[in-house]
Amino acid sequence: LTTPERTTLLIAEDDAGILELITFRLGLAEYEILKATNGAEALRLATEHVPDLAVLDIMMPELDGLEVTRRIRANEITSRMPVILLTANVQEEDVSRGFDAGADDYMKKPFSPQELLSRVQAILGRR
Amino acid sequence: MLDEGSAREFDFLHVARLSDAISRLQTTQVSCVLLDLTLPDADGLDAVVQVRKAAPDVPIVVLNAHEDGLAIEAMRAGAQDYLVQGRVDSDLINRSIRYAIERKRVAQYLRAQQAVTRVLAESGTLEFVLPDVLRALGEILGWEAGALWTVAPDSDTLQCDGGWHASSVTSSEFAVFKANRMSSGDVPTRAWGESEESWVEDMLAAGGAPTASQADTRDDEQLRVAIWFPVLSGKNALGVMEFYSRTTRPSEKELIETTVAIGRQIGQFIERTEAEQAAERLKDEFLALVSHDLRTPLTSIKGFLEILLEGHAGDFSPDAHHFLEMIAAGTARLERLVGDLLFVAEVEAGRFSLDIGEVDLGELLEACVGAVRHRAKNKKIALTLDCGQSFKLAGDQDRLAQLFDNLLSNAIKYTPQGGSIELRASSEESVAVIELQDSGMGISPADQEHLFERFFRTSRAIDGTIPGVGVGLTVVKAIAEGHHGGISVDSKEDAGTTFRVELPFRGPQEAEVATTTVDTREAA
Repeated sequence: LTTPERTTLLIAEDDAGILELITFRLGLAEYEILKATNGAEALRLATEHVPDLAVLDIMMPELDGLEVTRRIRANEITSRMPVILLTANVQEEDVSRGFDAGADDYMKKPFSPQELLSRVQAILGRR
Repeated sequence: MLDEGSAREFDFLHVARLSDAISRLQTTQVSCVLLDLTLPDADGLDAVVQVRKAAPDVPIVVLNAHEDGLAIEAMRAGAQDYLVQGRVDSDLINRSIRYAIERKRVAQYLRAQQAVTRVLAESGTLEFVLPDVLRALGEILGWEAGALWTVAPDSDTLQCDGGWHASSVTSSEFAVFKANRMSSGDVPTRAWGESEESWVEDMLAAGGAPTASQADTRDDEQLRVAIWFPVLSGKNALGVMEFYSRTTRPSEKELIETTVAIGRQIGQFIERTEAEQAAERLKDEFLALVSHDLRTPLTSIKGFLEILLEGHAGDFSPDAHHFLEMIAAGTARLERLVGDLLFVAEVEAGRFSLDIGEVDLGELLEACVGAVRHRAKNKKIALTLDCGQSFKLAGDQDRLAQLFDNLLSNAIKYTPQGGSIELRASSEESVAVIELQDSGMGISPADQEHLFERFFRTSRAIDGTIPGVGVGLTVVKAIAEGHHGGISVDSKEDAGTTFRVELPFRGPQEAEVATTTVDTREAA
């Protein structure tokens, strides 16, 4: 179980390489990381552990990142959890669908891990 | 004389003035006009012109009082034949009328076929050209209504793609008629199934019993004559085209042959446009898929490289560090290419959106030049930026960066070792003008014509085995035009190339971009 004083992040990404990349980079910044490789698992971890922030890939098996975001927003326990979406599609309509679903920010692939860390810190700092 | 002879072949209507003839032609359908040029209110050949205008499809036989050498001119004015009184008997007149009617009819068939060819030659989908095709055929060949039925997708039933009716048929009348055609089902379906044309002189007599809605219409007011013919592509029937008329009309062999030929033409058009559309869709899907599937591994490569270069996984020897930087440069190039490919797919699909904000052009150009400076240095190319003042314009920061990055990358690619590249920015009235001049290999006039086309590569680029896929300038042009600007090129072989980009300061407004997509297909 998570220690109360450490900030916990949920990372959901079905590509093993990218999942390890994010886990490593955000782990360097002393965050506790919860890992999920599909949308259903991500949603379960989000409601069980209520992390401080979720980074969700949009294109995932079972439930996609947009649907996971919607359900996180719809659940009272997790409704205030910040969500950053990762998208390999760069069309503006995907971006706006992400915001419509309730995401706080998004990053286009390929992204810089350093940049992702900055965005995470910015959102958590705002709260 | 006209009324002589035991077997009168035609009925004649006599009028004594040209004005009477014209008004009679508005109300009465005639097969041929026998025209005397000496009518009291006629002025020589002008009579032919006026009759032709009043009745474009009715043959004219000129009957003149004396030989005046006008025969050729009369034919040019629209007459089908020219006879001189005193030299003709009733047999000759009858024959002339018969021939005139025949000639006029053949000319009409030719005209119908030409009209269809012309309409189909315009680019567009079936949906776009069908109304024109139906109207051209209906009007020229004298039908009152027509429709095209094609096979509905994923089924073996016919659906109506579109109809046309002349002003003699009301819209509601035609709608009822079409609905009945659909429900009775058998007729278009039969033509389609048998791939054969058919002429029904009277649909009512042929067993197409009037339905409830038609029952209160008098028989002689109904659309009752019909011709239908399959729309063929090879032996494959794609659908059926039909034309109808109220007045009975005997079957005409030549008309059937003409319409069958037209049916083939339309069939080929449908197949061609469908194949083109399918190919376009496949290409777009392929590009989007490739770009997406390339992005995922690129994310890992780029991300882990960054972690290694930032030293988060330990130190490297100077050589190893240099090699990592080489990998990073290659990765950046790959990333740009993937971005360009996807962008081109969006542009081709007629949609890409701009994220409009205030852009500081000076800062932007400086950043773009900075990003390629090391590449220029590696080739010992002198790279200079001349941007006297600061420009602010409305635009998409990332897309404009992509535009100048593509132009600069090209310039470096096509400029030999030791050359020079100069980027200049200035303002002209309401536009910012950015010129990029290089001392490179230049572009031949023939290649300049196709320079901005997708996947086009100059002969010199191919000969010189310079890497690239030919999307960079397509992207540049689309972005410039998306900003309501443009790009032009001035180049001489072996003397270098200058690209000139113009961007209006006001550019597209945010609201406008949010609600409309930029369609650049015409430009491509």
